[in-house]
Amino acid sequence: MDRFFTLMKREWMQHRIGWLVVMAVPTVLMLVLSLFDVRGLKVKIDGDATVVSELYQLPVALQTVGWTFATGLLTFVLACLAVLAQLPGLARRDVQDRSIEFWRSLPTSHVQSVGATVLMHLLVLPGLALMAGVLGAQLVALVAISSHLGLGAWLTQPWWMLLPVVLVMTARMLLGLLLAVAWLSPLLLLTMAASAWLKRWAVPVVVATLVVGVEWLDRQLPLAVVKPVLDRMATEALNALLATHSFKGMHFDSPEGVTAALPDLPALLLRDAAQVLGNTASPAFVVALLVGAAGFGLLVLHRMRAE
Amino acid sequence: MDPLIQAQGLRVRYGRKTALDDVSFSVPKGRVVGLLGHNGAGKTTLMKALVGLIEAEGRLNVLGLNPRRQRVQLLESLAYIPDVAILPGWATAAQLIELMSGLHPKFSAERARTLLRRTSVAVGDKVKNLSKGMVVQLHLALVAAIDAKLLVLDEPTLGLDVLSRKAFYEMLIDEWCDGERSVLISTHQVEEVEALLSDVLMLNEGKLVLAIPLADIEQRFTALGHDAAAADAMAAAHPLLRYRVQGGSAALFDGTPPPEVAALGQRLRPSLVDLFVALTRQPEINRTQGL
Repeated sequence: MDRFFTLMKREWMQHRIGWLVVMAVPTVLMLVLSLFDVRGLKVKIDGDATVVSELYQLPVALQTVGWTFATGLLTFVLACLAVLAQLPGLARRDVQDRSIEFWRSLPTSHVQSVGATVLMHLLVLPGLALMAGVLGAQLVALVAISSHLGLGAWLTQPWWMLLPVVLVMTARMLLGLLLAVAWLSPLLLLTMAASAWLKRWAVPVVVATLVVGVEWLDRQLPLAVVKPVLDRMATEALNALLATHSFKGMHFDSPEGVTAALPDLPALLLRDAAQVLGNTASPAFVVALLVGAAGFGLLVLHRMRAE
Repeated sequence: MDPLIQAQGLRVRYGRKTALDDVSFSVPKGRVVGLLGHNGAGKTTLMKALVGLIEAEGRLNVLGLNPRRQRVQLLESLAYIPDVAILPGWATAAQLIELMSGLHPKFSAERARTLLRRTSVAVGDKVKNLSKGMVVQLHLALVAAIDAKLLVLDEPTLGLDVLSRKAFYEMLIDEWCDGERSVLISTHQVEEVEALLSDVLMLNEGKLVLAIPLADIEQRFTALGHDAAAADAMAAAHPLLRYRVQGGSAALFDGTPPPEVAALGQRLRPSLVDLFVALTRQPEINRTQGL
């Protein structure tokens, strides 16, 4: 376990500057934004209602939740983009800089080595980025609310209500990240494996394969396969992050109504979490995990044979 | 006492090419063994097989373990430098020490720092900013801080200048060779390692053509210096090698030449370089000998 943790630490040592940027940039952007007089905020939930209000006329608790959600989401999106941009290169990183021989001369198994890289870049670092974003959001909220409404307004927020909301919201997004990665693991890990073998051609080859699958293979088969599979993966991954149908039927007449509903948000998010967890009890999820595991196996095989 | 390495009938193929062909040898403890051979002779393949990075047919036992099946366990007691300057460029010496501490149960961070102080590398230096020679010194300092029984070095000084090579070998002798631990070092810079070695293994085209303690070379091989008049007689006795020496020619024989031929020349000490040339340029005389 110590060795696995050290291998994870190695990922942090090697990529920490990039990830610190990913973690800090959204907070900095939001801080800058918070200094301006943001004109309005739209609260739109599943098309049932739209409330438009001046941001700083909203209840303070709602402003805090808003900043938290916006900053956290921005950080999360940026982290996901960073992962997608970095993922293909990770598979051949050590071969490219010739350090593969050094790493393979150490008493660590190939499974541990690949596992630490995959775990860190697909889950831990995006998860840390998300948490950094949520923490940074509190700073943003402090600055925004203090500068427009005074420090007292920030201090007198209903913290007993806000803390569970922020914590459960963060936990829900972390769970969403885990499940989304699991649903998308066939694409993510097979792309990494392709990159290990095909180098810079991997991404074009994967994209071309998917296009051929959707545009040609599906038409040849009596029943389309590729597109429905991709659609299912994308839908489940998005649902894992936020199952919007959990919020169906909600109706708010005013920002105060939204604020009044905030104490119920943790319970709602927990129910939503239970639902997305329930979605994993399906053959499709098992197949996704198996194909993802095959991709992982290919990465291990490539590392074993790496020259 | 069990040898640290015991190899019997090792064979490795890459497609149709045989990289190692029926290689058998053993390495006892406390020895410094040179693995000599030209480029492509099979040195790296043998070393990778020894540390479990490639599969080899035959029987192979290193430190009592099967390298392929027990690679991780083996690498806890075996230190391995697989190539020159392969440390990750992004890391500092301090980070490598920290990582090695977590990854290697027998690594001493304190000893690594002590060894590093004897080099020109500072703990804060990034690998990518170091010269090739400094990277090799850093790598050796890291490896020498492992309490291992066996050190495997694959062409550790390839491409280094003379000063860096000298510094490397001095550090190796000072910090590793204590009479208990063994070293297997592959190189084709034969003359540089000769003074360091206790035993030699020579590979030629995948076959082990010589496995012998250095001290036994003079007993087994005979070098005769001779003048031009004796050249034909020497050639007729089928020496392993005929070569030029200061002031004349010499012939190298495996064993004792016939007395009438021996009488025509003056006995010289056979050098490892001459032996290397003799045994690795004539495939027809390849032979396998136990250590």
